[in-house]
Amino acid sequence: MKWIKSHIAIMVFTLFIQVYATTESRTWELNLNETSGSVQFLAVGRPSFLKIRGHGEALEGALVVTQSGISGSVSFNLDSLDTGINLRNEHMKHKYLEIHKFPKAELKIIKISLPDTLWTDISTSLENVPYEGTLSLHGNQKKIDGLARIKREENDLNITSQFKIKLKDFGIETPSFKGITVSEDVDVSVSFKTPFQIKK
Amino acid sequence: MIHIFRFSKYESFIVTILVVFFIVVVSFFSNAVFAYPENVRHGYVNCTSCHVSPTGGGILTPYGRDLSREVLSTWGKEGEGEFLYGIIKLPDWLLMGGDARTLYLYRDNPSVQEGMWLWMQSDVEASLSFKNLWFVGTFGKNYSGSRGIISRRHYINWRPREELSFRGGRFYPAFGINTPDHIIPTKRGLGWDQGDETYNMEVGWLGESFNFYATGIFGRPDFSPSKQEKGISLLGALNLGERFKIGGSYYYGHKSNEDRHILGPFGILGFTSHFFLLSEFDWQWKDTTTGSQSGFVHYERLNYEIFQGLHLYLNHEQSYLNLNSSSSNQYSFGLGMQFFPRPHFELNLLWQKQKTPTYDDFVDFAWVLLHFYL
Repeated sequence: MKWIKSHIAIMVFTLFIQVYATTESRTWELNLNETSGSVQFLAVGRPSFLKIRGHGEALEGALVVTQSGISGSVSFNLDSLDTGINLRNEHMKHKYLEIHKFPKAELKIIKISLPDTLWTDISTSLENVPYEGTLSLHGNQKKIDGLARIKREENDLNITSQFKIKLKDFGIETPSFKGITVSEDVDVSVSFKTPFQIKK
Repeated sequence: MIHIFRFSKYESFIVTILVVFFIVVVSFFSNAVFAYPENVRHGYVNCTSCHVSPTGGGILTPYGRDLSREVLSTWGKEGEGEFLYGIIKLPDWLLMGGDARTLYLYRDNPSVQEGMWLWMQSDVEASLSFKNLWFVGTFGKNYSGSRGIISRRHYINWRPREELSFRGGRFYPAFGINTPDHIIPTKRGLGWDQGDETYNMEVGWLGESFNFYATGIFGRPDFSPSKQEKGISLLGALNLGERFKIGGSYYYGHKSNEDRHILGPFGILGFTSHFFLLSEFDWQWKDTTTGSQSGFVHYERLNYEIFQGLHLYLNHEQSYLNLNSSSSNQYSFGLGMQFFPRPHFELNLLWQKQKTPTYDDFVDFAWVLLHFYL
């Protein structure tokens, strides 16, 4: 009987250790301040379907990834946006985005479902992971729906995400210049690659 | 015939230096109109951002004038690209423009070594708009043929919606790449030299990812019946991503003693915002009363923009329109430089090595184009 009790005790202890270890390893901290990445947008000018692509520097902020979702927020310096044409940049930043009043955009993930494979497989790629978030831009906050591509390579996460915004949802006047008017819908793409720390 | 001033070799050299110097100095201290299809690399997939004409070229839109400073030119101040530098404010329904072009041509071959200035163009152009209608016309001196005063282009354009365009009048039918370089084999070689605009009816679809033009060609009433070519042209092009445009064209032309078909692909490929390729290849089949012949023309320009406004390019072109006759084969390659110092000014230099059936060896051919647009 004694050896049975000992065996059960060892099993319970092992199970406890496993559960503890699993719980611990499923909480990751991402510090985006030291990562590479970019923010891009694509807008269309009409008539003539002019393609306007803007590029900006990487995101800032910190995220915590758990099985229940992603908490924290990331922000983006709007002054770093560049569309390749100086006058257009100036109009975009000062007339429409009003960066002197609203210098940053902030994104907060409120709902995302992450599958187990992200934790169990050290080399995995998840396509079209839906999420909901709130985007703060131009002094306005609006819920957004997006899709993310999440790639894990051991202790690195490579995330690319796309979502659409409507300029009027954020109180941004429709940009127009000398007969060319930018469409209301703008496609936004965010990407970054960062190592994650396992939270203890 | 083009109006020609002849200079000796040394006079030509000195005049060239003086004119280039003048352009550079004026451009530094002063504060357009052609098609520049390579602007596809900046996301301008359709010509109508910058030009009134659905196929590009000619009078600029207000946006196009601003872009001539923002994207095309090395230097410039706000408003510098305006018509007459903004001295005259035009009402919204009226656009004005114009072009003055002169060319220094240099040839060096066993028969002749000469340089000459050619005055090529001095036109004004106006566009009147009313709702979705545009009335466009040019007016200028004719430096070839009958001389006198001519209107190279005049047409009515109706755009009931932003993608759809109907046009009637005198203009070039849509075919291949609409480059201003009219002496290349895909233009002059196929019969679309400067002044060869015809009377046409055109329908165009200018979509976000697809363009299509169908043109009925009704010839030129001022030409003799034997030179009157009538027919159709079709052009389709795909905008791939934000910097690539590929397409194909077809042309059928009929004269009293000749039928011809021309078919070929073209591409405007912006590898980066500084590095691009223009390429066109066309095959022509021709039936005449004396027999049939077929052959091809092609043109390539590989271009790198060193800094905004200054381009270096490699040029390669060939015309071999009768494969049964080696005397129709001529090709050339060269090195060029194009410079847009400030809005309203363009300088383009090209030096080529040409191989023609007339001479055993390659011969030299070069030109310097000075272009001022109002």
